[in-house]
Amino acid sequence: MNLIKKIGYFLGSIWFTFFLLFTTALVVIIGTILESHTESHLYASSFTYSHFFFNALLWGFFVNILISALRRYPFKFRHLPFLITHLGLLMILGGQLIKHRYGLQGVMKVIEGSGSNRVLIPDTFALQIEETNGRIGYLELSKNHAFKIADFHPHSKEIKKAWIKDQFAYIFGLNPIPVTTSATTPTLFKDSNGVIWHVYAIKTDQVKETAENVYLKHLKVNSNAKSELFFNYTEEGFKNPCLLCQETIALQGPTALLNASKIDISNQPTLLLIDDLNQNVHFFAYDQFGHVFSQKFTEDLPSVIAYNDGFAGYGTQFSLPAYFHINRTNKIEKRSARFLKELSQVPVEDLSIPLQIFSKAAEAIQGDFTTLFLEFLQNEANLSPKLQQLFTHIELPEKALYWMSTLISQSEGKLLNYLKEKNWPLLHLFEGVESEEEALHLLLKQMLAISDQLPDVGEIDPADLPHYYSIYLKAHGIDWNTILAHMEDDATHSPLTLEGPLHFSYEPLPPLQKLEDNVPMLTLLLPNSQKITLPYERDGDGLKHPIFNGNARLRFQPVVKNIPFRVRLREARTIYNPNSSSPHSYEADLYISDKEEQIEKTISMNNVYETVTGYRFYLSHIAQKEGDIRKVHLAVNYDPAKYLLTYPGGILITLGVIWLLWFNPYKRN
Amino acid sequence: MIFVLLFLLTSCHSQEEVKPSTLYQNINGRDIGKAPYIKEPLYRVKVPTNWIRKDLTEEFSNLDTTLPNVEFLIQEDEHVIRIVVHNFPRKTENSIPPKDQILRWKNQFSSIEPNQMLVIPQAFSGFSGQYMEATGMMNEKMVTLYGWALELSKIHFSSLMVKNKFKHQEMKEDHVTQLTADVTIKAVGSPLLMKKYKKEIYDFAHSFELIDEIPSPL
Repeated sequence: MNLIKKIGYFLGSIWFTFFLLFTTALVVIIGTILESHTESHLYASSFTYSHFFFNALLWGFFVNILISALRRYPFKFRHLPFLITHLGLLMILGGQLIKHRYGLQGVMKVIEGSGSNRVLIPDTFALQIEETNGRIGYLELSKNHAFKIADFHPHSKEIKKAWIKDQFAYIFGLNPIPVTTSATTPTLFKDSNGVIWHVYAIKTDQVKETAENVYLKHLKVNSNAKSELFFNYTEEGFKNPCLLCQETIALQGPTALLNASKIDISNQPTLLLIDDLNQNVHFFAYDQFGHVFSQKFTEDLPSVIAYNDGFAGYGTQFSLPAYFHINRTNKIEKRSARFLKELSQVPVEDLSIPLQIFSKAAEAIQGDFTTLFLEFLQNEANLSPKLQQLFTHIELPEKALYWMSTLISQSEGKLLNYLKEKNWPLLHLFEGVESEEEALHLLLKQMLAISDQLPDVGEIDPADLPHYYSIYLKAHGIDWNTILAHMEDDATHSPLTLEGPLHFSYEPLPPLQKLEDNVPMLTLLLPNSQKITLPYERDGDGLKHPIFNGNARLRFQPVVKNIPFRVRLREARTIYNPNSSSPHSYEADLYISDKEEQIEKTISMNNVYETVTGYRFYLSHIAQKEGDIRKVHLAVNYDPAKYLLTYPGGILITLGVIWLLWFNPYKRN
Repeated sequence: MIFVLLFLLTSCHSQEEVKPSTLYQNINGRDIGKAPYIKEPLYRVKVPTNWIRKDLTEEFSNLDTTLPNVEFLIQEDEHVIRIVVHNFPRKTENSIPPKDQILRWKNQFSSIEPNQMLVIPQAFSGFSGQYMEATGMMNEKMVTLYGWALELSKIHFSSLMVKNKFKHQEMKEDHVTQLTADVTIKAVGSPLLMKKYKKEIYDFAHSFELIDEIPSPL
């Protein structure tokens, strides 16, 4: 009994108070140092505020204050301020302990137009299970009995790999393709357009060389002239791959295969998957006409396909461009037809001046303007009799064009430099002009403006008129190669699209000191003996992985708690400082409803909303993309004891202290 | 002295602008073209109480999208501002992009005052698109136009089209088609009057939303 009395006396003594104060201060100092050193609040609190020892200190304070108050029994009136103060302290401590146990601090994410009543509790662990009927459930890991935890690592790295996994390449619809170290035996498959593809899967770090060799292996050029391939494949993909044979023939893009020398290329339709031994897969496609196309699949995939909303897994896609499987002749035919159609739909008065002139001349000879114009563009060096007739009726600014032609031929393709060398009198008007096309256009305008003052040229040879007209067109940016290059191809048939599964693997890593940056990894053994490894999705919005043969999906994420309020977001906005792009404030228009009513509220950075029952909503973050809807992060805080204990406790302490200090009830008269 | 100062400070008052109050009103969607032409409430918007509302009754169909879902008028003397809301139900992800709607409005002007045209992206209530403001000649009159051309954001469109997001709710296809419809809000009137009511019209447009909360994609 003596011992109990002694212990009780100590627990209520000033010495115990000093010990508690000193220890708490020490813990807080340690926490501050740790946090500033590691930049991790989580790390610091794991040793201090979240540690059971700190909780024990709080209980220590509670006991100390309670016993020190009870020791005054039997109470007298002069004890009242002391008791009131101590009661206030106990209420505050009690409020904190209740908040710690029953309170809530988390994040709610809402998108404009939709709502939520779910709060994510950071740095907690749970499994979200979604069934195919849309039902979603949460299982806190600490209370999990459904799945056996086979493995857990505090930090890991997720590796997403497309197409190739271990020794095989996987494309939906085909048998697994064995991965080799060189392009020896292909796997063949016929697509829906009847094209037979040769598919290779190779593991090598010599990506460019391998791809180039495969392309060269079956390349044929229908020209006796020497040809040289410039494959130009880099880490960022193809950079203007071309074949040099009399002229440069592009192998990729809208201008691919087009050449004035009418050279055609052929090759074997090939699909080539190369694993570069660095977790990347380079996917190449070559068609029967020599086109090339590639796409690099890295860990950062720009998009992922979800099959059956993710219940059947995830995949990725490789699509060939529309210009594949169209040969050179077909391209020119199709683009010419499209050009004719588009030109015929433009009213004459909306055409540029050179075209209006041509149209007038065509009308004079009762010819079809669009057909004759296209004919001229495609073959201006070799005019048909009809075109020759047209040029006898065409009204051109001949003097201006004559002198332009002279200047252009003397400049040898470098007009700007030539004008500068010759101190062209109107050179100051060329300031800021960088391209030859712009210079040509500006020079034409000047020539037309001063054409009366230009030296006389005598009789113009009619045979030169087509050449002058060509210059006139070029000065207006009208050139057949340019027109062709800007026209896209419509696919003659559906371009080939291949899909393959995404493979996920995980690599445990040493945990980081900044705990907030750790990505824990969890391996579960499911009741059907399936093993599944899941990364921790800290924001609660990563991919969910299929389990139970696609009947459910699973995600490892923070615990989610439902609150008794539904929050709907109408609009979130940034308010900028006047005449500035720096933000002044952020606001969100919310509807907050419970079972009884709905209220409309605008919250902002310094304007929080608190419900009657003590739920507080703070606007903590707006994720926004210009012109698109916004996602808002609301910090949600709930302290169940705030109005019952914490605030009244504070009032009591204030009253008690004022009474003690002002009225000094212990003062002896 | 303190009391005198306090008295002086608190005795000043500024005449407060009397703003009309606003009330939530529902806007119907479109009927399916068969009598009776029932139009279900689809949207809600905050409307100043002094605006005049005009709706098509059940005797008439508004299946034709050239007809507005609702029309509001602000009348002051002989000047009127006309505010119309249209929706354009669609069954696929393909729709007329907002910028094409803007172009159509631009082409309704025979001429636009220099530096009096503004087109900026806007997003609210789950819709995203463009806002246009222009002053110029239209039908031989000088007018100002404030217009919003909006489409349901892709993430919401996908969410509404995926059945299991409904969670035990089964929505009819017609209703989903209405929910995913593109929307335009257009106000046209004389420049002076439009300037006076600009904030009201802007607040009206920004309060526009679907009555039902869109299922969250998160």
